Amino acid sequence: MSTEEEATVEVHPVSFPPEILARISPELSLQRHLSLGFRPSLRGFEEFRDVSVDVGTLSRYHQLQDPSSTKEVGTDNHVLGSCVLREGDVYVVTKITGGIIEDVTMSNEDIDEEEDAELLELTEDHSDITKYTSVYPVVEVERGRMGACTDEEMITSQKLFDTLQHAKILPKSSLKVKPGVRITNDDGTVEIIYPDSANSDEVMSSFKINKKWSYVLYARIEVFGRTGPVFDLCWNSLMYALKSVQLPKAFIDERATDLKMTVRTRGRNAIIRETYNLLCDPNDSTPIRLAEKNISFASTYGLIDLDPEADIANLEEDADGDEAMVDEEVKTVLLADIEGEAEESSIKSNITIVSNADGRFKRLSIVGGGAKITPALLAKSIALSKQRTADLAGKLI
Amino acid sequence: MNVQDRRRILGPVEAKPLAFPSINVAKSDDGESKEKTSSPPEFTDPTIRTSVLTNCNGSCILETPQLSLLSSIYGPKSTRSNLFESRCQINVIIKSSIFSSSELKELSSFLINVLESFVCLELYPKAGIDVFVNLNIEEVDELSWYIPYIIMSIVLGLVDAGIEISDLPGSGFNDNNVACFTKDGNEVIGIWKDKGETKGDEHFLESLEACKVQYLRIKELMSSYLLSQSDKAE
Repeated sequence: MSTEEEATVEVHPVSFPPEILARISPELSLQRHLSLGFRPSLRGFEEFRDVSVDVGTLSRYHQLQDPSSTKEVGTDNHVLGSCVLREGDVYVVTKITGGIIEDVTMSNEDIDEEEDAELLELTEDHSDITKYTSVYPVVEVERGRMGACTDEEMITSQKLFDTLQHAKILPKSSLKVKPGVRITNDDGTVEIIYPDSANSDEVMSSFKINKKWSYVLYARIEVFGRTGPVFDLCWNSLMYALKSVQLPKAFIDERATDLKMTVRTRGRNAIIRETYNLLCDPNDSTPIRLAEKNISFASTYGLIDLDPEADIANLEEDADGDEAMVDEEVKTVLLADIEGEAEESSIKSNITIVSNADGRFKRLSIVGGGAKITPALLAKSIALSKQRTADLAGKLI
Repeated sequence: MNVQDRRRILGPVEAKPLAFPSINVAKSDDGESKEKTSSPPEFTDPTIRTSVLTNCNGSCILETPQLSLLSSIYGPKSTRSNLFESRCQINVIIKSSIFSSSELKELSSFLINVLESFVCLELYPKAGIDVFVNLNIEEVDELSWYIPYIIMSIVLGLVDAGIEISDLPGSGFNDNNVACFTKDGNEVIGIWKDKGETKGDEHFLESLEACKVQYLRIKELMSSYLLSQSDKAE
């Protein structure tokens, strides 16, 4: 019988430079950084990225405000408010444009006072939310791909829409159009008279405009250089852009204010009111009126349990492997402003807070992805979000 | 017809876009008639920044008072097709808010042809390079005017991405003609003409010379920028 020789296999540990380790095992790379007291982006645990904003520069009214500019406002620029926000390496460009829609709901005068009084009373209490509206956001995250919108884009758009609606920042009354009238005088000059100007009353009373219109606001949010979750950047950029919105003054030509036509359809005569052509003044505008105290800013936090085995300090003492760890308790850390592949993929527990300057929440979401979220950590994230909101609100001035 | 894309939140269907009529009669008494025939502005040296975005291979922002243009290069990256292509495939996507998608598609195919003539495609088999161009501020409504700037930003983006190119090409815009040159103006790699009348050979040759002057200026700007970048790196 031949003796079996034992084959010994020597295993040499392989070590990787940090950049390679970050690609192969992002979780391990993150844990190693955390054990040293900072994150892969070299920020502290509770440190946010710096934000710089450029508000209103892309809008059509921006040139008009610059007295030295001799440019005419191009009729092609339909942007009413804008913001270019830069946070770290990520750029978010938000452009707000508008549309006009006819209001077909009944006005209060139409409701028969006696019969519907009770209904009115019932709805009064619950109708606060119906007094506010939202913008219609389309988020595009540029990642070098073409094709249909991704889950992230759809989810972020929906979150922005819902949060803005419930934050009660944009009252419906702010978007009501008060159209003026364009008159051609006998001498051929053209004048536009708006309801809020000095001598408008006699003029306006002779033109009865029976239809009501409102503006509709759309937001196009493009994210360049995405490195992590984008909701809070998009929300903050949207807030700044919304503040900069100027609503154009609209007018109807006098000939179209009360137009009735008789139309024959299938042997019956019907009287149709002609649809008006509501035009927007290229120069005149009014700043949008928002519920200022509800303007809020967003921040995101991640929670992760520290892995004692990845602790670099412990690695060096590993000579006697039998030594039990002194501290058995799992330590959970709070990381502010998640950024980077390692953090995004390893951190499953998140807190997102949207709050205003007084600390009132507009949106709070807590995803418990396995980390131990204690009340102390929650309180810390709320305190950090207050500071962050105060800092971001300061940039509005 | 407004066919709503149900994946996106597009707002009420009945909403109509805002219509801004041009400021006409009342204001044109100054003696300067700013009517339709305002010609596009002259070429101005743009401010250049490269390596702006971290999630792509190369990027470049060009800015002038009338324009802000971002080009981002993704690639060479693997293509999804199973067929083996010995040369790299280039794709160009242009995003703009004032030009129609059909115009932009035409310009994209023109740019793909131009790019294929100076990018070393054989070095990247079975790969694709995606070029995204975003026109962020566009105050000139003549698409041809943008072409020299677009090509300049794409070339600088390709250099930033480390993709090998055989030369620093550029182009010039003059009287509705755009001509793209390489090899110091000795070779023409593309000609684009969208509007205006064809006025005969001599006029065209003059226009070509004017384009060449602009090309040489652009090439000078690109070289000095790239040299200053490499000085900074050292």
